[in-house]
Amino acid sequence: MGTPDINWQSLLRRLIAVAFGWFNSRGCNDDEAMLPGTGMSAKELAFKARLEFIKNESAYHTKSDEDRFRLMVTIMRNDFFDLVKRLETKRTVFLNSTTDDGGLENLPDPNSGFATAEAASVARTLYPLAEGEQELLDLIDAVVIFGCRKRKEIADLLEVSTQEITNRQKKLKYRRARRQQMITTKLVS
Amino acid sequence: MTKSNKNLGSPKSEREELFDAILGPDHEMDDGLAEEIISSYDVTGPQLVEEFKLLLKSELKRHLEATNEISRPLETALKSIIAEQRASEPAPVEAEPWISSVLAGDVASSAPEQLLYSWHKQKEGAVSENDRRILDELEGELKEK
Repeated sequence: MGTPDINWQSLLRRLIAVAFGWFNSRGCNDDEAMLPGTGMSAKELAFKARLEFIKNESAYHTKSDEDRFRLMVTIMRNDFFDLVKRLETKRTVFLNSTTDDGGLENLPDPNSGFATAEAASVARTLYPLAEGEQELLDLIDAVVIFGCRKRKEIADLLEVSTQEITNRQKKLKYRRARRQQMITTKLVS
Repeated sequence: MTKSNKNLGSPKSEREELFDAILGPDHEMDDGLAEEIISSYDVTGPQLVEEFKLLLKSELKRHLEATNEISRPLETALKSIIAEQRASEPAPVEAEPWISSVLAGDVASSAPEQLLYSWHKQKEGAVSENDRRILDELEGELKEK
């Protein structure tokens, strides 16, 4: 089986955008930046997953482009978590506190209203992405405080359409993945 | 051995489920959003395709050296990329219609006007001060002769 009618640009762009999200939230703010201690960049991870899919495509049962994309994201995700696990076993590098992997600092106040400690940790990671926008904070709260998991549940709670929830999710997803501008200090002589 | 797609995805942790619920699942990545994200890294689609093509080529070579066989899936993928790249190239200018348009005085519509002047960074056709000075000096020298 071959690789029929593939839009390579679209496919690679989408795969790498997903990978940028994961890497960026672990402090890798550049397209060539490698996950500390792993020697792997977002681009390499995405390319590796694509390559693996090509080599084994005949063994996978995919019916549509979306099926294929979903499967490649799964391959990529598994590889990413393998890397992270390896990293956490070694733990030779201290990841900064804005990463997605939780952490012990600033654990929630037991009375803060979060469903679980994990929910509080996720909230702590994602609140800054809302940049003070109430509608995005509401979306996060619907999940971490009210325990909603499905888009429809969140939409019902917030009394908006599911499309509106999708739009808010996209906004947060973009902010999580976009390249962070380096803060430089100008030296005034 | 046939791989089961279902076995590929390990169960998600509570943390991953929370992220999925807030951000939407990872595989929900449309072209527009992907473009916005990669643009923030100054990365472009054609650039990614080119880089992946080079990786495919080296992988094909490595496979050939290791097995003495050409990997058909890799070869098919490489051909598909090359075909896409060719398709996205601008159509070549055909000589005869172009010459006809020049003769008919229709050059402006058939030639990229900004290209003619781009080298001295002037928006319009006028030459820069520096170029004008050089031209004036040359003109002066010719008159002297």
